[in-house]
Amino acid sequence: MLRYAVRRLALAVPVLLGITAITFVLMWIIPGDATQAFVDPKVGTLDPEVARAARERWGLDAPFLVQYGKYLGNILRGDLGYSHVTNQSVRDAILEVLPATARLALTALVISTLFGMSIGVFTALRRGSYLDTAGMVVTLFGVSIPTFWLGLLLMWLLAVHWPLFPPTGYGHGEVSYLVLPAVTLGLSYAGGMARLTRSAMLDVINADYVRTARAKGAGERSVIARHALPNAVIPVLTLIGIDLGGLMSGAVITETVFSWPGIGRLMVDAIQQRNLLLVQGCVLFFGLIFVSVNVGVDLVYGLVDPRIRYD
Amino acid sequence: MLWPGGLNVRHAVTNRFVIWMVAILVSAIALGAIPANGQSEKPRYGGVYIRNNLYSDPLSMDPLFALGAATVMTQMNIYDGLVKLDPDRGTVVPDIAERWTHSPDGKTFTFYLRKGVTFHDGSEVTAADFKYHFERVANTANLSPHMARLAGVVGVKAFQEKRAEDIAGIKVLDKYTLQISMERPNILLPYHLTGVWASAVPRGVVERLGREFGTNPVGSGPFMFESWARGRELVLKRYPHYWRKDKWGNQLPYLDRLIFRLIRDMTAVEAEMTVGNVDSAWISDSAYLRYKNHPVFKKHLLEAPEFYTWHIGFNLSMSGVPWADKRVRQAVNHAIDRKTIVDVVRQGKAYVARGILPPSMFGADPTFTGYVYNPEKAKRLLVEAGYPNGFTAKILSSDSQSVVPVVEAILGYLNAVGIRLQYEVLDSVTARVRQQGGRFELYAGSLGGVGHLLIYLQQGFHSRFAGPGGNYTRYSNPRVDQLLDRAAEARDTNTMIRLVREAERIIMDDAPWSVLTYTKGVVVMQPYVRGLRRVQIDQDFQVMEEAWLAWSPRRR
Amino acid sequence: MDKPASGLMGAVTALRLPGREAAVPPASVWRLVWRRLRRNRSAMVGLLAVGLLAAVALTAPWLAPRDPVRNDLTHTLRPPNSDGFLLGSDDLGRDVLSRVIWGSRISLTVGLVVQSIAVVVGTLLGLLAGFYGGRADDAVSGVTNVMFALPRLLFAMAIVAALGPSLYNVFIALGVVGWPTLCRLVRAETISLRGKDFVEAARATGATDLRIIMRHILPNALSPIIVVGTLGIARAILAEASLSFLGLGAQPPTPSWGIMMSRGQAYIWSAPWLMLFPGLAIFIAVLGVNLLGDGLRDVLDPRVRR
Repeated sequence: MLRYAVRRLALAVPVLLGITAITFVLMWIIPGDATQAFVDPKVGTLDPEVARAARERWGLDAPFLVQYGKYLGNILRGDLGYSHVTNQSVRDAILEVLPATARLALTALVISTLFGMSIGVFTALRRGSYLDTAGMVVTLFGVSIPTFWLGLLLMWLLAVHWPLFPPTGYGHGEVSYLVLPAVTLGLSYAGGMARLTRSAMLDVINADYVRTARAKGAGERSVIARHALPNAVIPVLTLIGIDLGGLMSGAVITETVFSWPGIGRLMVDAIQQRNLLLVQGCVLFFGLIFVSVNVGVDLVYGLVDPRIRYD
Repeated sequence: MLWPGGLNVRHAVTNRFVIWMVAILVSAIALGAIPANGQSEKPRYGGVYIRNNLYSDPLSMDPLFALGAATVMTQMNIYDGLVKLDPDRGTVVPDIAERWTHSPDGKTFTFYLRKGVTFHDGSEVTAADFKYHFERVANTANLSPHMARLAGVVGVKAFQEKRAEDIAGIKVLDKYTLQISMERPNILLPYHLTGVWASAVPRGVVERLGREFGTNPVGSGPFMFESWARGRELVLKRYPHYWRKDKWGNQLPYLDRLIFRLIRDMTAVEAEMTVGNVDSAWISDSAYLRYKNHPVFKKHLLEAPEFYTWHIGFNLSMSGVPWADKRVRQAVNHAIDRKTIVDVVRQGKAYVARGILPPSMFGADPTFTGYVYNPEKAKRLLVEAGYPNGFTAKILSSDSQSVVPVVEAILGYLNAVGIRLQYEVLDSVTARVRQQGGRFELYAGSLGGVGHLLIYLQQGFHSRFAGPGGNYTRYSNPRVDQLLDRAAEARDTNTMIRLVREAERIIMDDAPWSVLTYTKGVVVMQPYVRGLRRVQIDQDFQVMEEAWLAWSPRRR
Repeated sequence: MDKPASGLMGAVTALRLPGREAAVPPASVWRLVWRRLRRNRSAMVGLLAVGLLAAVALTAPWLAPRDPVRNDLTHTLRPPNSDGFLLGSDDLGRDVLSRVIWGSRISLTVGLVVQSIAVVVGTLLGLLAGFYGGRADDAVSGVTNVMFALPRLLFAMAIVAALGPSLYNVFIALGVVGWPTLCRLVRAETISLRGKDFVEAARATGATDLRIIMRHILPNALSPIIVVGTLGIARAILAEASLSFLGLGAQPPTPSWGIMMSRGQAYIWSAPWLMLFPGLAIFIAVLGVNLLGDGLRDVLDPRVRR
């Protein structure tokens, strides 16, 4: 078991290395460098004197490999970078948005899992009936609506037309500010979750061990709860693993619509400012989350299904 | 009933009672006892004002980094400078410096500070504080985006290259007198010093806090810093010992607290406005359409022409292309119906541009006519230039909602005279980088953000600024350079204006741009907001020290 | 970019096909599939929607009442059913109906091209990784892991920024982002299939690796590929809309549904029809494709009891 875990963790390192390399290359390709921080966005002009001084100070004229090497060296020493303008280290900037990000992502995850799994189980058990079709349509709704549409719709309905919630912002962390963004994001993912749960349940419900349990006289409800559901959960876990990282970085649109101070928005701003260090910091963060969640999921897999352990 | 016997008009007019009443009424209005309009209402103290115009996070509260609308509009409430721009006319007026003199040779300015102006920590503002801050800005170690602004001052080069301990040209003559000497005669220095980057900072505090000053600012402005949650909101509170008073002698500001909220999405801003969670906001074209017809809000719109000129620019460093010929560029100018674009495409939220300079700018020529919409003339010019069947070219712009529909409309107009454009929409940073780098054929964009007509032309058309500095078209006309240089060294304003206007005429004839519109800045306010002024240079930079609330709203 | 890979991942784990062990299925099997599909109601609805979409896309030049890119500045922002604009006009006076009709071409093209790229690349790499295992598998898995870990938004932005914003580069960007999922799926299928008896048998008769892959493994892995590929079309259509929302998609004045949504967003309170109709179109197209994909899955899954 331990060897399995260690082996999975070891595979994480090249992944992290890979994403930093690719991010570096991508930022290199995108037109514009960090000197764009000295441009007033409304005016658009860049003082060549200032640009020259900045390039010199930050070593932006050095060749690609030199810059990448320097960057890697810093990362390994734990130094993610520092912005002298905002007087914030990259690490602090990310830590600052972490609470808001976590609250949104986790709440959305809970909402989508709850909704999704219940609808999925419900429709699987009533397969072929009208309720099944209805459920499928509702979930397809969720999967087919663009997030910003849903967000603005909910905002109009629940914050303007009937002012039940504040339209945007974080407030001082009150729950009322969290509701609309979390529901928007959660419902966006619930559709997919429902469909996955449904098909996983369908697989499992007719499997041999379930039929055996039924034949032994167990009640339908306990068959579902004790045999079918736990096994159906496995693919759902995989999905959660892959999606959590996506949830955080993909929440950009939700964060924009509701002005939620999360890390998705931080990364987009960093890209716009061509702040390579901050972009890298965010990407590394996503990578770490992705890797740890996946290792966690794999471990759970390994615990639940012994066949998988001997990869 | 005013008088018995019913209403007989002729009788009424000659009725002495009525005449007396009218006389009293008129004199009462004249003396201001009865408000004839809102302006004579007496301001109320107190209240929390929530503003929204932050679309992005401010960079820092240190004037070293006063760059960008979000940073500047927040900082300007915390700090004061030697001079400032009058919001109505865009001229330089006194702030902490109550007056200043300009030496006969044009090279030296002497500023006389008011006495008794204090920082938020109680210490007095002196000339030495300004010298200290200017040297901070010029110091390349601080890497301030404004470090090149003091380039013309005597001794700056030596200071920046560490050959001198301080800037020789900035002298503290006595506690309240600051003298700045330039290398060459210069009329623009006071204008440059109106920027928020040139504000007074308390030396002791800055030295003590160092980099932390950016998050714990201390200035001498009407509001003190209270708190800042990045990505969310910035809160300022009233400074009780602010030196300025209103015209009735009451101490400014009126508001207790001023909150800046970060709301990224423009449609969400409208939602917040409707619900009452923000007190004022700058609005977009589509929102303007809605608010213009809104039963309540249409009376609470503040409109002002801003100093930005939207235009199409031609890449003049390319040879062998159709637009290298002046006639082709003039043809483009004639082919576009600016009035329809303003009225229909921009929903009326812009002004038709005739020249480079917005006519509302001090010194601009109000009689300038520019290019008239004349597609026939455009076609004739194209034929003359050798393009009877038109030509194809690429045009790029940012993805801003203010420009994309305009360019799409222009595609139609130019198509009608045979010019077929291929449109590339880029994110704003990439568009800006391409413009700076000269990697375009045509672009649609804006230039401006300065309140001085000479600088406005310089940054767009002086060969010294060719490239990222603002002259993206790489326009170079020695005559224009000469006129602008002479204007910069002129001793009196009228000469300067005359030279600038002449330069503008030449530039418009050369047509490196096809000017389109000037920006109309519109701010919508809640009905209880008073005291906001039209700020010409940019409506984002509202002067909040005179703002007040007629009643306090119930906030959820 | 805000949409999960969920539907596809569901297929990944649920679609083990132990029943199919023959070599290339004979033609009669496909006729059987069609017959079973016909009986699945939602799949038929989906097929209808997709067919409608294809028909509209093909007949756009004749179907659309007006030129979709011609400005008419005297008839801007007309509400639906006024001045001869059935679905209204936008802020430049262009006919919303015509733009929606022409937009179907873009969406259909995006869906098909992007998924083709993703399917071809993903299948090839998946087959490679699954069949040979070992170092090839490690390499491919490593790359797919990295692709999954990278924020897709950043990737798409960078590709478009580097190559320039055009529809073709959007194809490339989305295709590059979409192949890892398919690769994982095909790899899993290949792994489970390569140990089967018929593969052993083929090897015993001296068949080359290529022949085994092409004639035995690929055909049996085809059904999940079809299903996942179909579902991926829907995702690609949505992704195009999201990219356009962020300004990275097709260029104006091209009438893509995504561009129409993003432009209409500013007028959401004053002229909601600008967002409503392209949104509905996207919704119907995506819904149709998803229903069809679901139907195919139900039909091709042998464990489903009827």
